[in-house]
Amino acid sequence: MSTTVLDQTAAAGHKPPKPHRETYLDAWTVKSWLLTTDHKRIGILYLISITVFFLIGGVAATTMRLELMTPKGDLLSSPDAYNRMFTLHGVAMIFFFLVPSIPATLGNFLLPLMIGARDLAFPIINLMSWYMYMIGGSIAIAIILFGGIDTGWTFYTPFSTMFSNTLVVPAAFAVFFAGFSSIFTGFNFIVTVHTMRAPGMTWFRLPLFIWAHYATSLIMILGTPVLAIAVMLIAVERLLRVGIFDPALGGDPILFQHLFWFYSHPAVYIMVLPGMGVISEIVPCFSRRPIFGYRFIAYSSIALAILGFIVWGHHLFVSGQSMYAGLVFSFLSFLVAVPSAIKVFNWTATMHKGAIRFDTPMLYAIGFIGLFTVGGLTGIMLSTLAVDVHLHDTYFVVAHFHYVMVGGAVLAYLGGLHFWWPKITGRMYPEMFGKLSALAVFIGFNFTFFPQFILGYLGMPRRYFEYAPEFQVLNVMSTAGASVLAFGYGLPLIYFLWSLRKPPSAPANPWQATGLEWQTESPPPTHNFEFTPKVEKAPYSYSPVAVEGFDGYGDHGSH
Amino acid sequence: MNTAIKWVATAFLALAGAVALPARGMAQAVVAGKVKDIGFEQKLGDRLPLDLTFSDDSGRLIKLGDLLGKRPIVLAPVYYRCPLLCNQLLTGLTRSLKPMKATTGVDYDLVAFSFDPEDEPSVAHAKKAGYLERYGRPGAEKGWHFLMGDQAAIEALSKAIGFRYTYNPQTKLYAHASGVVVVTPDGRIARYFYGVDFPTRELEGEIARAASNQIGSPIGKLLLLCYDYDAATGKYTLSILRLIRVLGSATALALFGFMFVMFRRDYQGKVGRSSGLDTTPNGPGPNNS
Repeated sequence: MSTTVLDQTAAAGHKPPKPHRETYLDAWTVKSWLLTTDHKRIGILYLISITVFFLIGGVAATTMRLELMTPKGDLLSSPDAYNRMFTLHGVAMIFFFLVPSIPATLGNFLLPLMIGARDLAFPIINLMSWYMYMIGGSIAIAIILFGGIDTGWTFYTPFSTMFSNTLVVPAAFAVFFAGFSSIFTGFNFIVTVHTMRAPGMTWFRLPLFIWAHYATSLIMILGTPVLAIAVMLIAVERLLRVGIFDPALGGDPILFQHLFWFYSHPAVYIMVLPGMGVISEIVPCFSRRPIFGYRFIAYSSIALAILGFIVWGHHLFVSGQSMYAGLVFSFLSFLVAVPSAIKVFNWTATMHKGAIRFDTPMLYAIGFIGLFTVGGLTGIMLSTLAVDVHLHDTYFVVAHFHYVMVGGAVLAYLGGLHFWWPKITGRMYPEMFGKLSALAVFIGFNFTFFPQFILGYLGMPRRYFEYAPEFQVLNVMSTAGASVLAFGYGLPLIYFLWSLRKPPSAPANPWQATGLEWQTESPPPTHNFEFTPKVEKAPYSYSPVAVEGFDGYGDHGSH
Repeated sequence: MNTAIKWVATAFLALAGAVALPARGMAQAVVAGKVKDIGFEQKLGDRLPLDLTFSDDSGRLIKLGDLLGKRPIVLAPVYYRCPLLCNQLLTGLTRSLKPMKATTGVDYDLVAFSFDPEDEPSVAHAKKAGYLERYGRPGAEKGWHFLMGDQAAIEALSKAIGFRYTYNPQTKLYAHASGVVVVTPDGRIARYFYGVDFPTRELEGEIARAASNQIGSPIGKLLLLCYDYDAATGKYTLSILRLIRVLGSATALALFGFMFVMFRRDYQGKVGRSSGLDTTPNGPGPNNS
């Protein structure tokens, strides 16, 4: 990223922070947190909240995997309980973890820092965004306590209208509020990037993390309202008995699928684009090379945002959509592979001949590249019309989107969290355990989800409580892998919290990374920068030479 | 810039999505074809074909001319087994007529005529009884006529009042417009009212004017069309899609408008103070920090 001409001490990264330096973490009253308008503190609020939902979603996933150890339904009391479980997993993970994960935590924290701003353009809207999220989240938790919903996270009609007696209406409100929180965030990001860049921070000097978040914000603003409308219409239909989606009332159930996927397909890019931004920061830093094809990566983010809006019909190949529409959507879906591949090729080209260091963030990043590629390529298989007829609604689809959303988005999130943990908290995490977690996540993930590709190909349908006995071996493998994965997820939770026990000691720039966020202290002062930074260089000005003085931890690491 | 931001903020309130849904385009095209065939043109001053013969709800044959001569009439094209819009029209009409000083059968007559040749007198009778009860004025029934006719008579009268409709064999329902026509005692068209809700005062004034054989002026055309019945697409599908399209376009316009303004500012800034869309490569070099 860019270089500044001032604040030399911070950039040096080896000087111990002053003993009583003012940081954004100084105030610790409840009020100072709940009424904060500091983007960094709101990022922390989000970090805590989404972790809670990640744990909720994780418990649901664990229960499902345990249930699927045996072909008979023996753990949960009924198929309905299983339905509630996977719905809980999907709703918690997608609407309350993945969509806000990187943008609302790392994005909130880093976006102003990276462009050299003191805060986001609308700090109060930013706080409102978190409250919106919390309202939605509280409703979601209330739903869990009062019996759950069983429609699947997609709320497909008529499951969600005629055939469900569960708490669909509150769930619609929960999703509605969560959606508005991400609209607020996207709105804030766009205005901030346009109006608050530091002097000299031109569009093509922006870190690719910013480009990715800009593209994500466009999707949030254009797509999320449609989801909000769709779930509200479900509520209207259920409460007022107006025939919108329910054929018995003169409604059109397929209309819901169109509206839902018109948001929810772009939402995949809301989840994965910020992850790509994170990877674009980590890979050059740990390869000590400038990013390869900066503009291609930047434009491919925008291309994904645009393409994301014109491929939703590939979810409806077998829903009675016209054949011609299917053909067009199939073709358009293939096109998504182009910008995705551009990114993957550029990251690998960046690593080529680089002085690569395999620190935790880099391990996660490499894991991302591999798993995202598998997820992307299986996506091409699914967007092929004839193949999809066979694979639709099988475990193949489940495996595919977990490769993209967990192998992609979650690994990027964890990698980014490790990368910026010193900046956010001022503490280093234990590198050994970090590497162990990255390894456990990678191995556990593949053991969990690769067998599901095979299961799906063999014809095991998704969302079933019981299955044919011949699928048991692969299911047991998957469950065993999930326990390794859970271990890999659990480690950072423990050592990140453990790292907080000591006072901040991390250097300003432990990774010798370029980029404005590393030019200020760790953790940053309330107003981010002591002086307004001035940007004079292109981003990612890494050179292998710098590696000589690079020990990865400054002189304050836990090693 | 503030205006641009306000724009965007307004667009959020508009709760919007984006662009049309091409997959629905096919269904849309079918309906669009239908829309062209339905309408309600204003033929003010034209004379109705008074020699047409219809039957009323008791099966009695009536010539259209017999209904005219003494009083103006309010003519409502409907069909009696219509599931939605015609009921709303008749309900709205009754609601509008009820508070008037003028009484049907005394000051004017109400004539509903069915454009469905298959309509049964029994259905018409039930309808008429229901609305009469709502109207609640004893003796009004002699001024209420619920007519049915053969295809030729229906077509002739529809054509005379500029009313176009079309039959959908799949749903076995008609797509049609909604409105009423005020006719002078000498059988000329005095005024159109569109929709399902008619302002009492205006309608009453128009009936009074028509009573003295005056022709009114054409009104703004806000046609309420009745065609969203298709069970395959759902009653509200089109309205929802239309709403989303409008709100979506508004959001997209606001967003892209804002981006356009901001990028242009960046571009102009580049000329002045070397910021914004500066595309000088300033290639990657060693980090000198």
